[in-house]
Amino acid sequence: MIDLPMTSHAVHFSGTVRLDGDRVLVTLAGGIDISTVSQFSDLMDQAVAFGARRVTVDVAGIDFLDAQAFHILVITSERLRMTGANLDVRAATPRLYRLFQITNLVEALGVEQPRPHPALVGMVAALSTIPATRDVLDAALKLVVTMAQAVVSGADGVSITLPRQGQLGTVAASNDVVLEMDHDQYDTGEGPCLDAATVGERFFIDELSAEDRWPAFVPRAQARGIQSILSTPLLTAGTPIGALNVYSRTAGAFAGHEKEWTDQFAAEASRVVAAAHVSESVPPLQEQVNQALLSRESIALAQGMVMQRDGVAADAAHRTLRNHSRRTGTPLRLVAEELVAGHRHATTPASGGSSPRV
Amino acid sequence: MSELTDAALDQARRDAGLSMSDLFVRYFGLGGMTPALEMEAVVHGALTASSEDRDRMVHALNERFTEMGRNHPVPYSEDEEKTG
Repeated sequence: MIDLPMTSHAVHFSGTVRLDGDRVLVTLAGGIDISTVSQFSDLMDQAVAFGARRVTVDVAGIDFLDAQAFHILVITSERLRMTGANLDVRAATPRLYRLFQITNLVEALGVEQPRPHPALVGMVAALSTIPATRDVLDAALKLVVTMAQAVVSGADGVSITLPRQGQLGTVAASNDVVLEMDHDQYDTGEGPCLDAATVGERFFIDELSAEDRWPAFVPRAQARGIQSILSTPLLTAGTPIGALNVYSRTAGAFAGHEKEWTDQFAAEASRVVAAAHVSESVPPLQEQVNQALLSRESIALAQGMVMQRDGVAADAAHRTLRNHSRRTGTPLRLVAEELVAGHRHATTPASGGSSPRV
Repeated sequence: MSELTDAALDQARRDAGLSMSDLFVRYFGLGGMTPALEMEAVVHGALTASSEDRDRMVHALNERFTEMGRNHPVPYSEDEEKTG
């Protein structure tokens, strides 16, 4: 079952236009597509005809808008502007707001930013001040998970998946069942969480018993008593970086507004990850270079010790260390660090570094 | 005389799953002195490095292979001297 917005043929749409103080308020509900767009167009004409200096379009009840609907909003806004009036859009859901963002219309149409869920108020401010360490990042994500579980009705567990050491892993989970569910997906190599994190789209299972995607994973989830799953991608700059997963023991638990709330938490988690500037796949180049510099320093020190001890040249001393690293399977850096720390007197190769003992 | 051609060095780099810059950072971390572009030329076989310098590149590759559970598959210059 794929989560598509309103697939029924008869699209419901309704709207009202009324004067509210010195402005015109247009309240819309339902969906606007080819079958309802003329109704919408008529409503906007009525709104302009009032001659007010401001027209506010309330889209709180809107499920979706098609391209023509956006076009009509833009045209109406232009018409109003020519007469010195303004149009603005308010109460868009996070999902609808994202559409305005994608179509680059937020500014032109004065689209009000969606109000965060009450549970999120204050959290953004608190999180924006966190330093960019892995530990604090994980703590912040754990907080997002805890809040999502408390706020999204029907959620029996919430987790966040991000790549760690090049592989997707669970970095925050509200309980052990969720953690095990995530591991089922990593083990079987399939599942909504993995797909959301790689494809960058929401994956939704309304009822596991009716699900035929992910044949290896689904029976395992059922065995854990899970009935519905909602996996929302975490995105930074439009690129999927992970997923926020919500599990429920109740079938159809996320049929209402849970998806929008979950979107907000996913957006929150994305912001936290982006703000922390922690690359989750590869350490940043600066960090790699720092590590390389530290490694060089240790090796140079150890090399100097071997040169002095064995009375050999730099290259020969390096070879001594390298041969020891090779024989013992210990990274050269560690060989050097241990030698420098003076822990290896008994085991470091003694004199004669040029004759390797393999 | 060398059994290991430098094309094989580049093949080893690919087997190890290292980008050229990954390899350079590792080689540099082991005390390598050759600049990145020249190291790249050596790995591609366009430049010849001293056997000591080349062995550092080999060791950087082998440390990566060790992480992957393989035991130093890329031969060092002294190995080739023995077998050659």
